[in-house]
Amino acid sequence: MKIDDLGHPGHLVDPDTGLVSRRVFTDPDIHRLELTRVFARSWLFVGHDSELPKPGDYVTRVMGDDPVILTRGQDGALRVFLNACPHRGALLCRADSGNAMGYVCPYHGWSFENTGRLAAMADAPEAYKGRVDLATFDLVQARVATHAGLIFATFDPQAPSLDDYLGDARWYIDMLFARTPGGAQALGAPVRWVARKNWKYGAVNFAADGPHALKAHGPITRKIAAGMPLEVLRELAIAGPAVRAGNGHGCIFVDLPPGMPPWVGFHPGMVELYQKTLNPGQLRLKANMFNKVMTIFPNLSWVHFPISFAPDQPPVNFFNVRVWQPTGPDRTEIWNWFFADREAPDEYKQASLAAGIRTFTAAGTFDQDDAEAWAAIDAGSRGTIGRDRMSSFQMILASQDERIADFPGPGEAYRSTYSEMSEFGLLLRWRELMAG
Amino acid sequence: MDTQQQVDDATYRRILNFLYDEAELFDQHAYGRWLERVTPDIRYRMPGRGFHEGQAPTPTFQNGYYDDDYATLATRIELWSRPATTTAESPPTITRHFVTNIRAFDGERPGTYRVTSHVLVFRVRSTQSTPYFFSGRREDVLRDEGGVLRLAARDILMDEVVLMSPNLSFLV
Repeated sequence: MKIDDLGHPGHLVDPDTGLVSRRVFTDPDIHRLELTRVFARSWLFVGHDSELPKPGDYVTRVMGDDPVILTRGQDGALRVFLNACPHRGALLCRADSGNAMGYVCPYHGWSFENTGRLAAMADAPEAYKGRVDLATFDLVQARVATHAGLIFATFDPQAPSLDDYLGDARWYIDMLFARTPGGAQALGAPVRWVARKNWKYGAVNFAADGPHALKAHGPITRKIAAGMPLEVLRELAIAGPAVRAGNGHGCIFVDLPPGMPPWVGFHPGMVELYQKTLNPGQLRLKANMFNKVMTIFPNLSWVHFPISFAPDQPPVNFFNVRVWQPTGPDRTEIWNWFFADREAPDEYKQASLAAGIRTFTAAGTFDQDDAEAWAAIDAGSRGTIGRDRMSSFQMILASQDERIADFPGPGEAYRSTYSEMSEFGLLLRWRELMAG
Repeated sequence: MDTQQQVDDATYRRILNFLYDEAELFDQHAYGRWLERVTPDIRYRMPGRGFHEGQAPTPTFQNGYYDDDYATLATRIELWSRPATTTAESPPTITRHFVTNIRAFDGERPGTYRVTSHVLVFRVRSTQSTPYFFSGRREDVLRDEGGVLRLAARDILMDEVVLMSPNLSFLV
């Protein structure tokens, strides 16, 4: 890979002007390089504690472009293995989920314990006549760490601890995933769909992009927020803070629309638990903010807000969690979950799940429009002339001096979601890692 | 399965016409007229699908793509009806619904019918000339309301595990 042929990554993302080469989102060589320099060096989300309740439970996931197995052992420990037989590389698990004490390769029948140790080689040990150390046939294992039930893994032995990697973002993660003593749970298995775009459009959009909400989601937002005028929606988005939480993590918040009471959409019984579990700053944001959107670098995102599709139905919060899985410079596989507080009543969880499915899936009343906007960006950005144009994040020039002094959360909070500050923060971190 | 009693020929003909008329309305984007043919208590669902090793546990919570009632269907349809309120359907995508393997049985109560069908949707979006195919099986409950058949429930079993379309801004 000769990055100089493309221009040094430092030139692809310009911190001073807020301009980003569209090659960052379209070039196959850059994409191959980011799999090595960004994905293989970052802590990647692979699942949630609640997806593996029993010993032996496993799910198959993807880290960058590598298939992995996430499993809970008989000892309760979570482990992540490259989903490939050490002998010739065949997938060991070909299902999305299951329960197994071990894995058997479909090719030669070698078997492995779910601790990663080689268990049996069928007829093979004699064939090696003692000349090969059979311990070299144990599964390739990733480092695994959790925060608030979120399970992350990395194959990079040099990566910092997960705590250092997440840093200030932990405060914002806890607002959602550790707001009750029991924490959160995934509601069912993830669903997946393929979007025609670079993964970064999704990650940046959720880091998050305030101004697109009016065009892409204004009409549906008016429907679910009791006919709120678009001017009010715009003012709320302009007034909402954008936070750079360090290491490329970013989030935005949007104030409750006028007339909506604090804690709208939450279950009252859960609010009591939040008040016992969270600190005053977290509670202040949680009670009074309508929309909470975040990306954990590089490709884990969530969005959380209350909706009601009918005047006689009270608003319910949905809690969408997703991964933007890169499958090519112009392809992203979106892995989509919904979450809820473990302690919430089942009826509330069902209502919250339905609210989420109606908004943030491929058929969702929000996602379906984003998908077409992103497809349009991809189609407009990959031509001979087009890919050498720059994408603009120049709102940073007007906003980088607009820090909020008394923001309750850590990191750098800027005055407006119309600042591109938190979005651009993700690309600045990408630039650092791409520089090698 | 409520009963295995197949409906009589005349009823089968009515049901066939209902499904074919519905497919025609879908392809004309005449969703408002389609909405007149559903009951106020409709449930319209499309869960996700996956591969599970061994017997899949019955999930308490079923993630998916559609879990709609009358109000949410009406909201979607209203948004799709005007270019100013939809990005996904402006310009409208091209769809062609093929409905086949139609089987119809008497339902639990008189005047209700359990109908299963297979559906293939050919779809083209303006930003992608390559067509997309949606394939699935529908399990419907149709209800006779004063001589008019209406859709009371639809469960769509999709055949893709990874949906190969960036969005699903159409009905099946």
